[in-house]
Amino acid sequence: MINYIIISSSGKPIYAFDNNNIIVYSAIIQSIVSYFTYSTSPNQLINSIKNNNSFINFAHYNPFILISISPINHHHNPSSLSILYNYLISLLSKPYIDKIFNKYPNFDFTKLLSNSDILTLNSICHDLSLNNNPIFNYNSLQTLPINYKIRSKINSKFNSLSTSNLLFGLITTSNFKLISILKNIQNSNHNLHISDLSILFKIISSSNNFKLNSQYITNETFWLPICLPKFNSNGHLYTLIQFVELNDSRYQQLHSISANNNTDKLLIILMSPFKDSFNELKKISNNLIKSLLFNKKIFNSIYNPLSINLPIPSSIISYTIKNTSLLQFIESPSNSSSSPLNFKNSTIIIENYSNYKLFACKLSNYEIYLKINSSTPESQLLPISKSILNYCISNNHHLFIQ
Amino acid sequence: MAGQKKTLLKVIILGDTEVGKTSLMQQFINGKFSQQYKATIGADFLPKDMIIDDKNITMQIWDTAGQERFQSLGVAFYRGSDCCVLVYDVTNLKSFENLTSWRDEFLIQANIKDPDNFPFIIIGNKIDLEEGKRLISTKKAQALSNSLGNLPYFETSAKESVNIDQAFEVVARCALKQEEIMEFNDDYTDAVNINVDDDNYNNCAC
Ligand SMILES: Nc1nc2c(ncn2[C@@H]2O[C@H](COP(=O)(O)OP(=O)(O)OP(=O)(O)O)[C@@H](O)[C@H]2O)c(=O)[nH]1
Ligand SMILES: [Mg+2]
Repeated sequence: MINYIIISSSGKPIYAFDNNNIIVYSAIIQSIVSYFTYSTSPNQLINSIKNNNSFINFAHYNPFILISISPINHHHNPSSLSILYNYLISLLSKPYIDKIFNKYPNFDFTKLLSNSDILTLNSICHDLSLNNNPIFNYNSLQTLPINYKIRSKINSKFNSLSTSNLLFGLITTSNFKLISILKNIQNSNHNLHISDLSILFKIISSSNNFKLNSQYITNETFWLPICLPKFNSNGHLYTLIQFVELNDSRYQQLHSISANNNTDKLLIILMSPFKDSFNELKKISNNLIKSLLFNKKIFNSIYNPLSINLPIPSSIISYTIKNTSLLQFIESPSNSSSSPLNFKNSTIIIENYSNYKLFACKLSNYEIYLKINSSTPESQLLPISKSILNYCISNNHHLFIQ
Repeated sequence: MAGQKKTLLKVIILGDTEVGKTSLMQQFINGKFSQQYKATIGADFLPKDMIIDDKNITMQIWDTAGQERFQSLGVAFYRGSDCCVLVYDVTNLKSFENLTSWRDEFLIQANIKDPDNFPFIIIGNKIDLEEGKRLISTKKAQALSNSLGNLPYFETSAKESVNIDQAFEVVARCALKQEEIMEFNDDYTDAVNINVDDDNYNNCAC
């Protein structure tokens, strides 16, 4: 198991995935880090410590020190610590945190963490230690395959409803497969970043604020202030969060389509820089929902999304395909999202495990990740990948959002 | 989660070598005493849970090295302390005279902005030793404590477990008081709002 520890620069524990001995570990970590920061000349920052069994990674983002301790052979996501740091910033924004610690270096930050924040941190660490969150692993968003003509219809409807106070908007399924995205800014320097969205998705999925009996609440509209650190770490965006139930027999009757459990809920996310624009955004959301639910083609395209018919033999256990220019991916329904392979400088990687192989290759602007039966000859892997590539190129406009 | 919702207090113990810092900690936390001297190298870190007026606290105690050659960790870790305990040996004049420089060094290295209000506590240890050996009287120590800003003063014996719990209860109270005066604006969302027309948002030079 991997441990993640967050402490303040003064050595006070803030969070630990594994809490054992945390008071003592925090003190040791601070001594080591402050020794390098203040007592070496020229001053150095410590990045990592390695011994025969484990690898310790340090990140010093004042006023926080973050570390991970992992077994030496573990596929470690190099962004882990910055993901955790970004989460802390997303709660309170950078200036607020700096203000507190400038005034009180001995501040005990656990006072500002609610139980639901701890749940989210646990869930992020859980994902990172098992490498089982594809958004973290591939730094890209999953899409819901939809016929591109219908998707353009959704997009233009979304656009037509937008007002100047709406900065960003997303329509996704409740498991965060992207249907449509709206960026309402002229200035292209400011953009929605995957890492910001991954934090927002984690906050939604792991805290209990949006759920009742572990089901997302559809009859309430949430208004959440959140700082998106990559977008702007200085302040908050106000975010409307609305879940919409699709599994309702009335829609099936209305559109005379059959019940199918592919997509059960929609999620509408609308963001504004202004605290008081809730009513305005709520109106957009209501109109948007109407146009998604009451148009047969649109409803059906979301309720029964396109199935991906990759030309692959049955020896392929699962796949993930990332479009590297759009930072979007699709994956097989049965994906357990095994550890991401790190390309470093190569374009092809094969790793052998006891009863399967992992294969990854870069082809054009795609990365193809396959989990395959050990018996599959390696000579077949590149031809299979090339036929996957051809499929993706010819279906690109349905699979990915342009 | 352990440690959650408990106030954590960082306490640093300073003083010359062999005054009994480690012995005080061992007696306070484990109820043990050893005649044998083993120099502390770098620092030892000890957790101690306490309840003060129905408040759950955890003290993170830093038992430091008195010998200069073992101060290998540097002194930067003083930063962010809630309380500092200065220890001397009542039979060792030099250790008493050095208290002021331990205090000054702490104030500098810990980067304390308001030195007059930072909680220090003075402990004179080894009062079990025979009267003839004692070189610093209670009166003399009291006078120093007063001159440094009415610091709480305790006389202890790590060997015979005299006055240690009392001293550390006051340490905890002082640290807690320091913690409780912190004020911060609860409505963090009002701290900075992103303004769409703002410079840091819009790179347009108009
Ligand atoms: N008689 C008596 N001896 C004590 C007392 N406290 C400590 N000693 C003895 O004094 C010696 C030094 O004690 P330590 O606790 O190791 O001293 P220290 O301040 O931690 O020393 P450094 O780690 O070098 O800074 C040991 O031999 C102890 O047994 C006490 O209260 N009474
Ligand atoms: Mg010692």
